[in-house]
Amino acid sequence: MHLVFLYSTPLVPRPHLLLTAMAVMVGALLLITVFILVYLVLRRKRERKLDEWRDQLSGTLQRAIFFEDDGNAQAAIPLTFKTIRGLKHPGFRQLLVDELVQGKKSLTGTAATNLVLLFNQLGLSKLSLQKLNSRRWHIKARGIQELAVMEQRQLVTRIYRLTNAHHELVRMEAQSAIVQLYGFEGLRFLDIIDTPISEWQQITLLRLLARMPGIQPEKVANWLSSSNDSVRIFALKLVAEHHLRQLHDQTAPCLQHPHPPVRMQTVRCLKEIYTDRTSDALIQAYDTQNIPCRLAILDTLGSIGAPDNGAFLSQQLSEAEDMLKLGAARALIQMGDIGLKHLDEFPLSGEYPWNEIFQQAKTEQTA
Amino acid sequence: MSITSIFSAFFEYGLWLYSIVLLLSYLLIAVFAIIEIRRYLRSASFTDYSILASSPQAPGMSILAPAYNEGATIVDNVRSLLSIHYRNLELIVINDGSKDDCLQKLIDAYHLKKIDFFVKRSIPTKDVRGVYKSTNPVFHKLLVVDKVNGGKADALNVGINVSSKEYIVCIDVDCIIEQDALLKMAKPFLDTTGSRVIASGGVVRVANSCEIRNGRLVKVHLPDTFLPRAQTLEYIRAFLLGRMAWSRINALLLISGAFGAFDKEIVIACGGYNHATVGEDMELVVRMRRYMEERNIPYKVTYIPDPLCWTEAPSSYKILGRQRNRWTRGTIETLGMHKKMCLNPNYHILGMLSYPYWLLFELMAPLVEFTGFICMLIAALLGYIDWAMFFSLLGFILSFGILYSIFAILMEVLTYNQYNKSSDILKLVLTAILEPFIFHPFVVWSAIRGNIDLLRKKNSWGEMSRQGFAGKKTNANA
Amino acid sequence: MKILIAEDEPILIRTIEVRLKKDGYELCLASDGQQAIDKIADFSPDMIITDIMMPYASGLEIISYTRQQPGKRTPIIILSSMGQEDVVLEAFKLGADDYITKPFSPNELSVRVRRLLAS
Repeated sequence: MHLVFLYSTPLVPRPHLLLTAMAVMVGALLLITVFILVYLVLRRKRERKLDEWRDQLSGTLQRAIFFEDDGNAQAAIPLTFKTIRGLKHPGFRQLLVDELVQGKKSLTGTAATNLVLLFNQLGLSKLSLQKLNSRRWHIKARGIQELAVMEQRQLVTRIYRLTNAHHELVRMEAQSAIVQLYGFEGLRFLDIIDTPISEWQQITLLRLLARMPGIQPEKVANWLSSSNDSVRIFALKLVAEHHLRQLHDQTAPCLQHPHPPVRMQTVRCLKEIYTDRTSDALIQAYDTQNIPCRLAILDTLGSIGAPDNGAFLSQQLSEAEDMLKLGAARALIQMGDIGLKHLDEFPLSGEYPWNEIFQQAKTEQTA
Repeated sequence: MSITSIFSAFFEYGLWLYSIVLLLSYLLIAVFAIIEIRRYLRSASFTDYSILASSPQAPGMSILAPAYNEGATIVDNVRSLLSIHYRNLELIVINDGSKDDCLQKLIDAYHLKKIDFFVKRSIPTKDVRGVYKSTNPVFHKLLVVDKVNGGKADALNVGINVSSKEYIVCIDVDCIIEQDALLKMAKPFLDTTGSRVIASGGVVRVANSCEIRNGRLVKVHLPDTFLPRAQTLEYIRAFLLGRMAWSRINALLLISGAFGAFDKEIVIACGGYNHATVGEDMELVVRMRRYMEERNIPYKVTYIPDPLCWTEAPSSYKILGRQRNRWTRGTIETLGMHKKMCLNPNYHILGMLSYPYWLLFELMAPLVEFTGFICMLIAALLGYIDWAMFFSLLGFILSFGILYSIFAILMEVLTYNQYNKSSDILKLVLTAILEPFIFHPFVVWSAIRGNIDLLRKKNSWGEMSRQGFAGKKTNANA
Repeated sequence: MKILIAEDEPILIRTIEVRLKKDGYELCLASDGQQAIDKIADFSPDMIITDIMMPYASGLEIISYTRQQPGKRTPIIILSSMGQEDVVLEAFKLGADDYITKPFSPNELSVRVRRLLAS
């Protein structure tokens, strides 16, 4: 009996075919190994070159950072000889751009202005503009970033067009860039955008806006009623961060929004801008919320600390969910003596789990 | 046609088909992995993670580190974990009823004091004996929980109960975590619109022979000895190629228990870790995916290719054998618990691709390999096939395997390049050549033992002895 | 006057170095937290300027370590991009004397250093 089938079908190759395939693979294997070794050598060379270039740049960068024009508006930042030599290489120019961008991000005042001055003096915006023309999305995005950090406002129309770009990350960079260049004004795109804004993007934008003046509450109020949920959430975060108490009455209705994350953000926001009407709004909305949202409401009520909330909070001590018991206990304790009284008067305060819960809440307060 | 010839045909064709599909899948994995890593690296090239480090909007993360008899290294491990760059962080070390001085060492080193703490019972667990916090404000992120011994799954569940943040990061306490690991792990949860990221895994790298000071990785070296080096190669293949490829099509079934981040709300909704299996890390991810599929909620499980977590790989065959044995049993148990998903279109790619693949090509591969090889060998010895055929088939498969490993090395060099000396690369290449002769058969054998042991209903973690990062040998109760 | 600077961004460490050298101080540089802690022992600086987020040891650890050393109280300035209230408060609670957020002005840093050393 033979293994007839193995030999008789064309599907299974003869030994010599297998051997040929094997030879091909061994060849490929050797080639890749050689490639790796060569690549490592080249990479090391490149890194050494970059270090060399960094040294060449460093003198000019420091001159730029501490440059004083002595009243002469036309004064140019003096370049070191090493830098002038290096500028011939495109790699060197890009490294210079990278270092300028890095420096500009970390410095303010005259130092920062001077770095932009140097960037303009050497016409480096051309490099960044080239990147905008690239077909590769990550290069485009890099270009946008460079132009934004180096305050190249004259190119804003190019960047603005890219807020509608095909690739999501390019769009996001363009949005961040416009905000970086124009502050709050740059958030205009929120009026029309129909794609969602990711949490990451919101964090980036908020950070950029934190250091900028000029927030316009009327615009924020518009966004609070946007049909785009992520825009609404972003607006709520703006209200919270900048304590826009005047928008309280436009904020509170969001407690009834169908989308749970919007409601959650509303509660957190109200914690920062509460008025004497907030407690009632929160208490009314309480029963229709999910558990994380209820916890947030309890936390906010605790911050508000109004004595009138005591009765409501006491009721929540009987909630089935233990975390809500703890949340209510914490809120009561933040109310001071009145709250403590409610805790002590609670009929089951000596039994498990209330005894442990109250104990933890009390200890936290004193810590 | 006689019974024997039908059997023989089935066997030959089956084996051949199996091998072809397996090799093709490796090729596909390589392609998808390249695409996914490239996308990730390009995106990361202009991402400023420090924004997250200083943002009050950053989501809260609880690191859960179960510890059992880790007294020798626990203080250093915790110190290293406390130096992670992340603001909204709590580090929960769960002492799983250690028999050594693990807890006392922590109390002394970090000035811990027992506090009043109400432990939620979101997930049923063994009893908690006490919760400790530091009196020193520098260590305010640290929380130590002392509990009755119950195993890793139970300890993690206690951690989940105690945690106050939205996301949990489950680690092995003796893993070294890079300082910006959490910044990178948090990003996928914040990046995605439209679907919810429920879990995110990170690459685990081999820390053997690396320079470690005060619990921090100072310099990376290729492991000195063969066994950890073979595992280095294996981890590169599995993590950099395998998992990246699977995560590209959102079909990843497994996140390493050494390092993974999870959405706590979903974990609790699923009931936490299951202690009826030794593969609790894989089982949780499968269950979480299943939970989302059954409710038709769009979701993702993502993967970060950056080297964020370093662990000490077993350096003795005995320990390695136990580990692989356990992994096999875990995989079988997990697949068994969720067999409803197999080829079930209701579970989309999970049921139609991931599960069958894992069953056929991860679980059964050692068995098929072993039986195939033995049968071929016997057939050749008995003259049913000639030796030319036998050796050329063997040669073909061997060279494919080695080529794949070399390709993995190439990927590593092009991306993170942790081993950048030419001598290291050559050592890795040599390891790749030796692997099919020494390492691989051993791993296959351990997997088969795993199958046998499961049939015999053994259910334990085995004793894992570790050399400790300082290089000292701990007391191995082997 | 000797000043120790712990900062992992190369361009910043160089900028601070140039600025403070111009002011006449003797400088010691560290590019990560562990280096900084080692150099505190060897160099006995009259002032420490440190970032918070650095490899191996954070700026807060450095404050803690310095405050535990016997002898004179070394003034510490934190220079960090983390400007949130709770981080700032924590730094002061641990014993920092001043807190400058990034992005910062080198000239402003110089003035603060001078003022702190004078007092």
